[in-house]
Amino acid sequence: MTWQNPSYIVLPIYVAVVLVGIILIYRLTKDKTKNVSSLRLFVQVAAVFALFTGLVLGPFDVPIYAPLGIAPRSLLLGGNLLGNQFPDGISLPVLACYYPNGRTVTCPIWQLQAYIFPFWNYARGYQVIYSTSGLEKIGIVIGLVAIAAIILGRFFCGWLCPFGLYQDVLTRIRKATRLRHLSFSEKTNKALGQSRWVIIAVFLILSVIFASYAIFGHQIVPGTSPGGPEGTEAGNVGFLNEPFCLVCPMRPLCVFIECAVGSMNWSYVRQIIYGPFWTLGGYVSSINIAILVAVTALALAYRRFWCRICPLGALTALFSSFWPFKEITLTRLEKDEEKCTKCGVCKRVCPTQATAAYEQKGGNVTESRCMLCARCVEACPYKGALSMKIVGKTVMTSRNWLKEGNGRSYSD
Amino acid sequence: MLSCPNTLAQTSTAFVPADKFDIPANNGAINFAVNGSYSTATFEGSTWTFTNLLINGSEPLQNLEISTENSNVTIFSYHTRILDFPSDQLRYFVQGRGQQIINIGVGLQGESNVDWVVSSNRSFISNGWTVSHNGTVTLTGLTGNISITYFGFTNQLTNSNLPFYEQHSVAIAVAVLFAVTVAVAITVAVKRRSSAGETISDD
Repeated sequence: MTWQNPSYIVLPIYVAVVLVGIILIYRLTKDKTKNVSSLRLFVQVAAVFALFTGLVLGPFDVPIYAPLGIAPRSLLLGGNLLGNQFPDGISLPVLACYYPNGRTVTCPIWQLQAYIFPFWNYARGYQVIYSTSGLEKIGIVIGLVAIAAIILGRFFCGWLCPFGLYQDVLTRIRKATRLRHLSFSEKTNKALGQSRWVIIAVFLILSVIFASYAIFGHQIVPGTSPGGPEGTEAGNVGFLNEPFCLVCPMRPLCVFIECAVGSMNWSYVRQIIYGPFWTLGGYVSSINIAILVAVTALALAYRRFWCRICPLGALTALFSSFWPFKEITLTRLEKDEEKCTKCGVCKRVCPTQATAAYEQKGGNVTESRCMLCARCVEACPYKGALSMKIVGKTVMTSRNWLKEGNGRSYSD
Repeated sequence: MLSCPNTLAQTSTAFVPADKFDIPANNGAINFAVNGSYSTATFEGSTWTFTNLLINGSEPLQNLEISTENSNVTIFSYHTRILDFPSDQLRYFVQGRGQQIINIGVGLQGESNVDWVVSSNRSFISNGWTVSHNGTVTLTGLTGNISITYFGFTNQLTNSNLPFYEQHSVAIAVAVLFAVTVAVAITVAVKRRSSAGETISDD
């Protein structure tokens, strides 16, 4: 990994700006929950920069304009440290899409699919060489996600995920137009939450089916064995690699943005699928983009729509919101039952319509739909009724903003 | 007084595209698309064995064993670095739907199927070929431009000479980190519960 000179200046400045910004927003207000939303937006923007630092720091001598080339990966955190045991970068439970240039970490959903299919038994991936088996790499991915989830839970979703930022920006655009958001019925919202598990299961099973040649030596679905132009990376993979990535809205979003700023070739808009089903790439591309358009429209209407069905959020929730992990997770939303008056503000402002903060009695009220965005903490008008705690320490707690008499009301 | 050991000059025999290496019993023949040379070319059974084969424009191939049945094979090239990966790739053209049996000298390490890539007319082929335990590739029914490539990743990259903990250091490190995280989390949870219990018991 070659660090260009600007990194020695840019990185310290970035770290300093982020720290100062967080401290200023956090400390300048007497009450720690007054500007949670502003703090969160700042952190989200800083996180996007951190996740795609390569766009700023380079390297810029890697050909990103090669048609259908693979995104440079030189700024992968740990890529060199981990060597060819785990060269695709550290897994963090955010949609740090595998495909764009300049990323520093890797989406675990891509990794799970890739290590099931197509790289289960192939030592060569996309411009990387693996010395570990697919099973071992899958274990590493799940281990890293579990560690992150135990430490921060779905805080990643609420504060660090770039697609979450995209949806929050859409929400702010909607608010600027003074349009009211829509809400799903509780039954529908619950069904959406449960669909996450179905989505992740379906795509992992599909990965296994498409990987049948690599795993079992026999292709279950004709045409999914290794294929592709001779001499290319994709020659070692099948026609429908990483099936979830073919429908994930984050991929075309990243590609569009990077193409627009000149960091990627527009040919990336097409799916990179080789083999006899080459034209399928174009059709699948259309599905990819159509889903992005649909999710964008839905996220304008329903706050954080994608987060209600995101399989990565489901994976994170698996290790933070369900027993036994829920008992030990270090970041949690807690409720003091005695201070709660059941006013319902928390339920109203929650972007994902999580209801545990309202319905459950005291204690840990972090549910799988909760992104720990702390909107409920910010909005709750009773001091100490809701708190966000990290490692047992209260970092945010609700305040009596009603009594402050500033006429402030909460819009959701 | 110094004396030099006897040395033998390595002889080579040149070939041109018109030279045919026939396999009459199999109704097959082999030739080369370009000029080149070899040290020896022996025919045994139904297999031609070339040693120190040098095809013009290609890297030297130490040992090539090739047999063809009901088809004619024209060998184009041999290269040892594909996509910047150390590899062995033989490219040839097949006329006639028959069978070719080829060994490019990778030996016993070439047993693993996943180390081989067979492609034809710019598409990779998953059926119609097999690899034996000694790295002999048998191709059946393929015609046109064929490439067989051996990458040998499983041998190069398993680092089998390293101790177990070095070979799997990342997985071990993640497992340890997970255990530590869980231990810390449990400790914090226990402390939280005990302090909650103390608070409740206070009157």
